[in-house]
Amino acid sequence: MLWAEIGVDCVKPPNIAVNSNLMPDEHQFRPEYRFVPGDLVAQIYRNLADVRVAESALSQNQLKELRQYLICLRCGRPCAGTCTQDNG
Amino acid sequence: MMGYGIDFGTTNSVAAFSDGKTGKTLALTDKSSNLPHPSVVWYRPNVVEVGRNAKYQIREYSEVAGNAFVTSVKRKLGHDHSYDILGEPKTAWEVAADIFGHLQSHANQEYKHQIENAVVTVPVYYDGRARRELRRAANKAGIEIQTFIHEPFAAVVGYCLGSGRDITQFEGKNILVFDWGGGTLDITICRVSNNRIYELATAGLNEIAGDFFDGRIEDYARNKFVDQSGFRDDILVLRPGTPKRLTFECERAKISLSSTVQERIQVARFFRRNDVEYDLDVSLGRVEFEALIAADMEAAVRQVHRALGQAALSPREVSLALLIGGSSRIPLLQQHMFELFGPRTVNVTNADTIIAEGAAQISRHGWLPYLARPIQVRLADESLYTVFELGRVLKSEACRKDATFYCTDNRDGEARLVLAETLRPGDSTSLTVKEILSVLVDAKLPKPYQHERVYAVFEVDEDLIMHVSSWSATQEHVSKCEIHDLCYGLRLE
Repeated sequence: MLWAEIGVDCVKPPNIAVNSNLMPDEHQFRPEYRFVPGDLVAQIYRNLADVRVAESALSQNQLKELRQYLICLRCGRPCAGTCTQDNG
Repeated sequence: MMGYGIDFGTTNSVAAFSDGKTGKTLALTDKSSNLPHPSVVWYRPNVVEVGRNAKYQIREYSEVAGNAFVTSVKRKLGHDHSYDILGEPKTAWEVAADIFGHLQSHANQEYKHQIENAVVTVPVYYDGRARRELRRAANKAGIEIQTFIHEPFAAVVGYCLGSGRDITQFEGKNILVFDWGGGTLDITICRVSNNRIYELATAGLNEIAGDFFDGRIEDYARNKFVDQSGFRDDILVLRPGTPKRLTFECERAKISLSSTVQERIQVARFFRRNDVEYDLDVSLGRVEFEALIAADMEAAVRQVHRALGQAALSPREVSLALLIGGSSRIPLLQQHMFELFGPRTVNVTNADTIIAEGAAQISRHGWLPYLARPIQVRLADESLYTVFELGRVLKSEACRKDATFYCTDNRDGEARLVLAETLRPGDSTSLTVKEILSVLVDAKLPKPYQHERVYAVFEVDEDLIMHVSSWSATQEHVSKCEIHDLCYGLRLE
């Protein structure tokens, strides 16, 4: 059966989800590191990569991204703690 | 103040004026027929003819060397379309300019009106490219377009002001405009709210309209002639001039059957064979005509239900169903619509000219289009930055905004300006991405607090096209895009 036969209304128009990487250069959107992906934050703002600072300065999402970037001392990969979980 | 409006139609076009002093609004129709001007252009060497005579000569001369006809040019606008006119290329907008020129010269000669500025109506689905070409065409004919307004909105204004009603009496109500002209059926459901009219849903049909019905009657008449005379259909080759007379007669019969129950289609000397002339004389009753177009009527009603479904409305929630355009005068259609909407169905008497008249009134009052959906930029944290808010009046001097952004992640050397439209302000679930503008940025790791700045300029021009330019602080390249399908309504103040 063709879409046209059952009516095109039943098909939701595509709405591509593309992530923006821009924030307005305005006071309420500062400091800038709040909106930078966690893994990039660690490269630009090196002091924020310190676990003690990161926990309070970064959002949960940024922390997740940061953990995926950090090299695990145990397995030597950016495993985001999964190697510990795997071993119970 | 005098206001002018132009309904530039696929099949017929007409201008109208509205006089602020006397309050009189009048369509500048073809005086001989009191009908709008067919949007047909007939080209001969050094001669351009537009209107009714051109329409009636198509069948006779379209195959004759030295003649070229253009119909339905409205559909070709905005597509860079070009015609071969007597061996010379002619763009669609240049053909449209000839139609505007005809409206202008006719207004001047027959009504002593000079149209310098006018509000021009366009279908809801018409995009910015088509509007831009329409403006170019009007300008060539010496007409400056004040602004563009959707045809159904002009119809609502034309109906309310023409019948002495106050539009505010429809505050919060839904109006269905059923516009069935010669070339298309356009159904629009709009709502009046806070002195504004905006669309809720649209539906329609292409090709199945008045001219199509004329063709059905012509086929019927020919078949009847074949039955009566006993000639085979394949030898029925008509002489020059005869098809024109048949088309004219069939259109006349169709119009007449809206008010009578029986008509005769008579064409003298219709066919000649062996030096004997045969006349065509066919009787067509309303019942037969309705049988010919019954399937088309049902298709039209299905489109009404489709529009209601889109707007999530039941027929009861429609306060007014305006039937406009010549084909909406067909009694069978009126009956179908009455079954759906009851006494809220209005058969507009000036169905052919109401859009132009409404546009003339909009021109006289200086009413303008406004943004019916806010234009926003999607941000890195998935929130929205409003570029132009809901309700912004769309006139070019009021529609410019400069903004500076910073790039939160420049690793791929690209900043993405995601332009979006939301159905409801602040509701990101109703977000539709209109355009994604890619801007070159430096891919080097930035220093803390020195993220690359990205500048953007947003503008809406007189053709209701949004232009966006954007560039970064470190790269010379300027990225540009245009948005041609802004959603706009009409502000009645």
